[in-house]
Amino acid sequence: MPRIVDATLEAINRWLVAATAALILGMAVVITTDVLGRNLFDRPVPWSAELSEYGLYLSAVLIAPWLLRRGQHISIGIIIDALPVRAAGPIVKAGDILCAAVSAILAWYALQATLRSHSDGSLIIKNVIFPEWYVFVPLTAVFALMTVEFLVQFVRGSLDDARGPG
Amino acid sequence: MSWQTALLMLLGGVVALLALRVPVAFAFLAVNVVGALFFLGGEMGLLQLTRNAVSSVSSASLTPIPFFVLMGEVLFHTGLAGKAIDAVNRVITGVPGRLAVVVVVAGTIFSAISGSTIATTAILGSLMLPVMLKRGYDPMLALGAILAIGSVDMLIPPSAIAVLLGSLAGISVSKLLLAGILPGFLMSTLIVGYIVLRAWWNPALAPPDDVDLPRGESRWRNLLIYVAPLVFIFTTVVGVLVAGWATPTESAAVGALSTVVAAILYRALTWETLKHSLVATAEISGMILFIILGATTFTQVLGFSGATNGLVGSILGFELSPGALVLAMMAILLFLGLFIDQISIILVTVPFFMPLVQSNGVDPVWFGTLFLIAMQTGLLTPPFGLLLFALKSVSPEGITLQQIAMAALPYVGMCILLLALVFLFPGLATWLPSLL
Repeated sequence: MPRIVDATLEAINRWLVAATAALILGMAVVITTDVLGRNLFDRPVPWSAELSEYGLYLSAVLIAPWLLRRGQHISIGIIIDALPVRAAGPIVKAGDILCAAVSAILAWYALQATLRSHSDGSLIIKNVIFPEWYVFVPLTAVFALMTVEFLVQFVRGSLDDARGPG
Repeated sequence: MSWQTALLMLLGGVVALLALRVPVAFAFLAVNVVGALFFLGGEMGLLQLTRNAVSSVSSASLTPIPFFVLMGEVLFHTGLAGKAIDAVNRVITGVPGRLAVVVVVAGTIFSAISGSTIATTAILGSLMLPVMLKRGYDPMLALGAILAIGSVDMLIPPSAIAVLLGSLAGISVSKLLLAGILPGFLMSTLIVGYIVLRAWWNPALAPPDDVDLPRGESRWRNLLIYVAPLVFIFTTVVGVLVAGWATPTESAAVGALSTVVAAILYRALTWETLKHSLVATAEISGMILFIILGATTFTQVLGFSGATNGLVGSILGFELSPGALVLAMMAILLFLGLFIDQISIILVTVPFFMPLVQSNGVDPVWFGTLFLIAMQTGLLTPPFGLLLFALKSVSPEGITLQQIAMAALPYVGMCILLLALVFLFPGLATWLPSLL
């Protein structure tokens, strides 16, 4: 696998994990400001609920490729663990292909959802109003990224990464 | 397609993929893609799947999860945990199995400020296991104490898994968090009692070690400095919930930020420790939330396929009493806990269990507490006891996974005893939430 692909994936993932970490801290600060502002100064932060809900969604999605790259997605594998490495290897590779296919399908349909929502002009109307398609963009990008990552693991051989729980 | 075939295809598909080490989230996503094609109208179903992925984790009821995890990670990475353990260590003297008792008391305090069982186990394992082994403690006693109190973290709020269960099962998150307090502290007391009794019966298991500890009132100073503020944060988080001043999300955010502020005041927070705490939080909560994202449509697919109604109807056909039904569900949870992680257990069982709970008039908060205790047991049971692996990863060389699993066994029995107690005396779980 060309080093440039690996380096690019690593760089993207580092940005994504930094964004997720910053998001979590930002959410804690804004929600606390809202609680204190509302109860002590009668000055709530009206958009704090939206920030926490969509922030949570973003924090779940953006970190997913990083977790995949480091073999940190929870997995179990009671059958695989009982098999000798020679037998387990092809099954793990088949799993990589299956996951790459699932990710590609979901990236495609997330893209379709983005385009449809954009062409329909759908809006999310709460305290803050914004186009609905905004929320599908990260999902499309992340599943596309994970498709590539699973393919990279398939090529590289993911058995070592996949060993060991959690 | 009959509901039995649909059930076999959907549930069997998930179990088969999990057994083949496909990551949990992707095992659910793969089955959901097939399920959407068969039962949710093909392409429309796949579009719905992506929409569900967004709505599943943009839910206010799940927002406390990263904040509860952050509280534990800040304690761990800033070294405040070590100082709190040291403070507890100074005031517990003259007790058989003293260091193991220190582990349980300190672990109970961490449980009250950390929402992650893994973080609590890792803190205690990395800091206290080497000390106990160096002082000649029996490895089984030392390992067991850490595992036992690590698992209690699931019950004592803040608990990320309790938030997840409450959110997915439609049980009040605030009530479920409060319901875990009494059983959690009861379990801590049982663990301390067991350790003291064993060490008293056989002193060779835990040689006395408190001769060089400082005496007098000065030893209480550190408790006041390093433990009292943590207890205050816990009281604040729970207090604002009970008083109805804040939602679970808000109390969790305030608790997380208070922990960060406390670390700043102790001059323990550096840019590096903050970064490590936040990245670890993002990773742990990301693992949990991405599985939810993957699995949400599973409930919908099961419903549309007729599998949920079919299975629930068949079970109701047996006309079991509500008590027998709850016991049967607990037996299933304990069995699943041997092989499957806690999040997957929630996702696989809740679609079937909650309709049964509702149709039999079972108190959902009581049921949720029993559910948590059964899952807490699963954290300790091999081959897939998550805490066994968490402790192994921070144990000194020479400690085997088999030793760790054996050390957990008495506490597995204790979890089952707690399950029985809460089953027989529901007030243990329902009294505190009834104050809301």
